[in-house]
Amino acid sequence: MSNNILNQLQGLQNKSNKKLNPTIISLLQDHSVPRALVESALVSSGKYAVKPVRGASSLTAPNNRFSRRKVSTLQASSIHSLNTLNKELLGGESYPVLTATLGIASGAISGGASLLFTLATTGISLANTTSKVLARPGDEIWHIEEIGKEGNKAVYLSAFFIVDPYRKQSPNKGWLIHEEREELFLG
Amino acid sequence: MRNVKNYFLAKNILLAELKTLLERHMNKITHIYLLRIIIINILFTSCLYADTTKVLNIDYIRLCNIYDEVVNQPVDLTTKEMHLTEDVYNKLPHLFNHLFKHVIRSNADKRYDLIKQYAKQQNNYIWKCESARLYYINDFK
Repeated sequence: MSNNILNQLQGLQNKSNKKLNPTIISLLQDHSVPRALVESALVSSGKYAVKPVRGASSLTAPNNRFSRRKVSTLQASSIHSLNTLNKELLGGESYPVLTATLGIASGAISGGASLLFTLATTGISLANTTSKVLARPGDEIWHIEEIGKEGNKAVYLSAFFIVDPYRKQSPNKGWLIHEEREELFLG
Repeated sequence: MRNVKNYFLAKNILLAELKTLLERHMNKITHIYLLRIIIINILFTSCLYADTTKVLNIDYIRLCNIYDEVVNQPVDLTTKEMHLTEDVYNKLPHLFNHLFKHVIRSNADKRYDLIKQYAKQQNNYIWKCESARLYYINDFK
């Protein structure tokens, strides 16, 4: 069955290598349900396996392979959090991306057609020029999750974007600030 | 003069006897010496390659202390979550890498049981931490 599912997954683009400290991720993510598509399960030998939250068979439906959520809005009152994030962002550059591509300006994404990180799409082009970004009060944090494949492995991808809500109709107002990937257990 | 001759004669006899004694027991002494080197080496290398990254029972007690300190602070949930992660990451790096990084990616209502489950499976340790249990019940409503 896992081969059948694997065949339906789209190949992922190369890693962006954008990675934030885990402390920052705990600040940005949805606190109650950090991941919509997968869950971690303790297996023998003290290792954790990442599994699809609705089971491996659910991945045949494209909607179970993609999730897009606004997880927080940065507040002026949380100056410590904002400073912590900006201190981390100063360490590197981020990939600008069209908010329309993120699906934020254009509304709901349906049928998995707007997957961002797959080889078939140009949502995230790592060839794009990088630019420095700093978070401001009122900016939104969006969490995009995606399940695809690398070679013969199913892979879960979790990415965070900063979006300027006041100019989200304009191009290049979303920035990829963090991306991480984990092999998905389909057993 | 005669006394001096006798002295050197006695000394030479003594050295010869000592030499014979050493030669006779050389193998034994060498074995003991080598054995000591081997034991010291084993102790040294086992210290060097011991699994110092394993989570210990004391780490779970320290983890609960961190929950005690953080969850009762008069700050919002985002700040508590950040402080918890920051403290475990900095103070208990082994526990963070083996366990806590998976805990913080899991749904809030499952986190307490995930820590208990890991402690039981890996250390046969029954982890109980009232402040953590109440935090995941009350602060995430």
